Amino acid sequence: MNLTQSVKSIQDDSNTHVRDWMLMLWRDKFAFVGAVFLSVVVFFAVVGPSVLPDSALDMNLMARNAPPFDLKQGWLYILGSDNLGRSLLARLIVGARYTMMIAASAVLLGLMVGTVFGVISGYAGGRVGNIILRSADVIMSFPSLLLALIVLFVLSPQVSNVVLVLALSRMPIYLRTCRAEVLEIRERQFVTAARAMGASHTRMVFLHILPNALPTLMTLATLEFAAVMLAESSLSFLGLGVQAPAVTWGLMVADGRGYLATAWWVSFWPGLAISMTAISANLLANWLRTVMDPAQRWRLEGRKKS
Amino acid sequence: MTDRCFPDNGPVARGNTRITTQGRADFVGHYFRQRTIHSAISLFGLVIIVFFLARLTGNPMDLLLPVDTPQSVRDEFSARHGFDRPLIVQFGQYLSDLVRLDMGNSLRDGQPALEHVLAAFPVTLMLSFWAMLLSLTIAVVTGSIAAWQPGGIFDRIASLISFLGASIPDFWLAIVGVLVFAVMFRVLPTSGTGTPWHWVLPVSVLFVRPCGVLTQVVRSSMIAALAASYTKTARARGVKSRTVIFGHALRNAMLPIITVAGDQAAGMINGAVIAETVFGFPGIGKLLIDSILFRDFAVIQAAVMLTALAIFVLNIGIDLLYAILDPRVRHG
Amino acid sequence: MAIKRTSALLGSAAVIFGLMGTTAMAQSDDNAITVVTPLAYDNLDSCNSSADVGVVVRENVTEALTHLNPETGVPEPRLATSWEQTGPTVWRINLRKGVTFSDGEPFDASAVERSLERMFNPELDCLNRGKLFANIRLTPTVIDSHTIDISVENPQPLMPIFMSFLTIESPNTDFDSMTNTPVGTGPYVVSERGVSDPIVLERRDDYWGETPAVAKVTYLQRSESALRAAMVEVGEADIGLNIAIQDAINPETDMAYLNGETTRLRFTFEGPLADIRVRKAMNLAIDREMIRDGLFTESYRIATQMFLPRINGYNPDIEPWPYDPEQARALLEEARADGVDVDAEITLIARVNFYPNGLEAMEVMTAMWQEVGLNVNLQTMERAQWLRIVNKPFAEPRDTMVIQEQHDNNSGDATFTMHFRYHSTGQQSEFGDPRLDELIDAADVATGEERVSLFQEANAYSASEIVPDVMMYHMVDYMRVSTRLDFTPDEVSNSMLELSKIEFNENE
Repeated sequence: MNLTQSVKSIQDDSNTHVRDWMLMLWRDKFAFVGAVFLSVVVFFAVVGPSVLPDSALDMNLMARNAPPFDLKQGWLYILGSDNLGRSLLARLIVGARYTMMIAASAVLLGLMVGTVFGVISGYAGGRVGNIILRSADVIMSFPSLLLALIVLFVLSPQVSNVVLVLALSRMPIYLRTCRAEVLEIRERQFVTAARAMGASHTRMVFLHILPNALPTLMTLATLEFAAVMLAESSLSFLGLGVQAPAVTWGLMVADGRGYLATAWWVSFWPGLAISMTAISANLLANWLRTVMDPAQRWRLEGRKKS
Repeated sequence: MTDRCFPDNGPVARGNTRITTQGRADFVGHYFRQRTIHSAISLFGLVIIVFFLARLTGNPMDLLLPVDTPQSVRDEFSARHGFDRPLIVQFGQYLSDLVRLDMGNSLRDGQPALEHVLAAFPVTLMLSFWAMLLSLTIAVVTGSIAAWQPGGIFDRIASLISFLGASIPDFWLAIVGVLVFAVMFRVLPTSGTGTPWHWVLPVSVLFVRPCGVLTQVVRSSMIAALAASYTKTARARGVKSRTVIFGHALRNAMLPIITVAGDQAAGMINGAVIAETVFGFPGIGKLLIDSILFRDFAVIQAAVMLTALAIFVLNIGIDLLYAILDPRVRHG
Repeated sequence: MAIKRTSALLGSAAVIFGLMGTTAMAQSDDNAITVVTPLAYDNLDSCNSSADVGVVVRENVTEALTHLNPETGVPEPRLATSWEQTGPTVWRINLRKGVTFSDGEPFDASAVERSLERMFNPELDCLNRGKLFANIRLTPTVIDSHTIDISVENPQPLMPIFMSFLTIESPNTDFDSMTNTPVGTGPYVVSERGVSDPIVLERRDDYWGETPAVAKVTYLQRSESALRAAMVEVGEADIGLNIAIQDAINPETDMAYLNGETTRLRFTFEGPLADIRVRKAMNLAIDREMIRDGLFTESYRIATQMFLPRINGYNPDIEPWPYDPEQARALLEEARADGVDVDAEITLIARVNFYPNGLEAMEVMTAMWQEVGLNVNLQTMERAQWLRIVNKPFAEPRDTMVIQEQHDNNSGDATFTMHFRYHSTGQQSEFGDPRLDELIDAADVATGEERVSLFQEANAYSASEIVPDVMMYHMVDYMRVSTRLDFTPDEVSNSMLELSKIEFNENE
């Protein structure tokens, strides 16, 4: 096979049709369930808050910590109410939006910045590459708590700053992974060949290197999504994350921590939501990894072991 | 997966492949020096950043003194600790003290910051050690067995449980653990550090997430190793299956496992703060969050530095381990 | 190979765990107790006794010259047996005889002199000096071995009250550095205390007064209230401090007590808040009873003033604001008609982890104000940022804010509160009213009945003519006390936990 053909065949691999992907997803039942759950969550995050009646978030001090599965007050209170008498279901839906938004933004931001610097570090190598790597080390060793405190209280405890903290503290992971991928891909035959043929650096990066690093990065991003959600809830627990009146699942769990003995549902439902979303993301990431790995993909393509 | 596959300026990346035993020792020594220098630079950078950024968060006097204290008293207390001098001057003072290994005194009790940190560190190390040991053991065993028959019943169940473990908020787990085991069933103490039984809940909370993550990593790298050609050759030669798994495959699957385990261990040193706070363990995480909330700069700096140093040492150790284990380096 | 190694490792771990110890139980040593607290007591030096560490140290390890009766607020003899004002700026104090410090040193006038001078030592970060004596210099003069004079620059009718804060430590205490193991005249001594060890107090044999029942106390720190409550429940501790409302569900062990704190929301006199009608409206719009019953408990008392009834200067005739949203709306309309920008944004500054259900209360109040049409928005802040907002010098321009506050006046007299918050020169005062200044200044130098009535007048004037705040509640704390002990907390238990008041129940 000559060089052009081998390059094309690799590109062909990643042009699989949507239908084939759907089939592969179906074959991994766990990942399928995960994907469905994630879609439901995203749906509620986007559409939910507008569908809720205006009074959904009203406080009702007489109905504080009402237990779940009791339809006396209406379907809105099926999951119970929190320590201010607000419907947990409504809070979960509104919180979904904030939580997803924060997690997605943090992951995207970290991914983009980390990829850029990772590519530079891996591709350029040498002095610059080293400096970037060392800076990533410094950021990684910087305790995220301190970072959270500094960003949140020197600037202000806004949602955007929480995203900043989360993205910044996890950026080195993308950077190092991308850099490793770049280093590995850089040495592969088709790349050296392309260079020999006179391809420009931009072309190299965007056409050859990035597409091949993408699978690993996508898997990492999906895994990181779960990790970021958990990190955000830990920050809220310690009082360094999102503050009222904003609502995230993490904040809801933190709010309910004083009531675990008497009103377990206040922390339980948002904790469950976080866990299930995180698991779904993890299962999906696992599936992605199998799909992207040519040696493992046969499991999902319904073919027999070769 | 990370840059450990390709150490900077190592002979593999450069393409010089004549590795003799002497050459390998040289390489390791050279690598060690390189990484130490780089880590030292990173550490210094960290010190600078922490110093200046921490001081941006407010005057510790505000937190130390009662709310009703008049401004004149605040100013006086401030001046005594040098907080009214320009930042650069304060930094200079700090550096010159640092050279004499004097990291300043805690604002809260006047004791040397270094003493606080050195007292707290072993606690976190112990917690992390036991948690990592438990994680690795369970992960290696479970992941390997799961990898033997991917898609089988054991694999599916193990995978689900490990994903569950990797997805639960740790503070939720901690408090529920206390409520269930200490209060409801009274089999464990609620908190504190007295007997080994006091360590059961905190270690359990700490090991769940790394174990979940590591199980998956072990599983996927074992699957890859088992599918590799040398394993097939061994099986064709009639080697018994158990020896095959743990003998050949595991050794070769170790590299990514060690990488992720190292990352998890490093993360645990910083991440034990939840377990330490809830269970009252006087470790470095608890020390850090308390110092942060009180703006106890000296202790913050000392804690960050020691933690970073530990993580750097850990990273170097793992890199060395990697370099030794990597077959590409070994079989020259 | 690897399997064998692993199982061997697991096996030995199991053996080690099994061999060592069983579940920890609370000390069943006779007369030893464990107290679990939310705060870490970092610096036990006795010159910090008016701060948080007073809970451990005050009257247990070090004693003060006088002791304020928790019910009446009247100073009673402790290390001082009698005192009198011998001149406008001089007080003569007679000291108790036959008292020794726990390190053997005799308690006498020179020890008191040294202790006082040490408190004013500029080398030390003494919180007592910072909180109480910033602008009052006490000069001691030894007259004889058990008589001492204390002089001040300006007449201080409150000297006996001040004396209840002057905890005396041994003359062997290092003059230029703080100590974590204070030595005093109290019935207990601090056992060895390392950097992260729990605090342990042990009873001494040569105390001058009655021997207390409790022989040994261990103080542990746990930040979660549920954990503190659980520890007392399972027997790992005997007293759990600051138990949250939702954890205090056992009437047998959980006791509510007024903790001396009063909460309010302070107005900054900016934007619409400069108009008294808006301030009155905001008071009328709050249903204090609903918040009290819904978020707190009935033990909380609706407050009309910033200190409790037992404090000198409390005016019992001031009525709490009624809940009248109609009237509130009417007032706002009136103000709007006069050109006041009633729709301008008002920021409610809440502080995280201030007091139990504090943030919830702020959220409810925000909703109640929005009900009557005010544009109130909640902003949460951490302690350090909040401090920058509450204390002068204020950043200019000052925003339109309502600020969450809490204050404890445990010192027996209104001056500690009024001056700071209501006088034009007060560090936390947002306004300046000449008549109020006059009243407070006059009250400050008056004594006896006149002093009380002047402060009462000042209070009434402020509440009706100025309306500088939205008063909330006299706050309550819960303490969980094991049935093994016989102890009832009182209004000062948050600043002083006198171990000598704890008895053991015989039938335990």
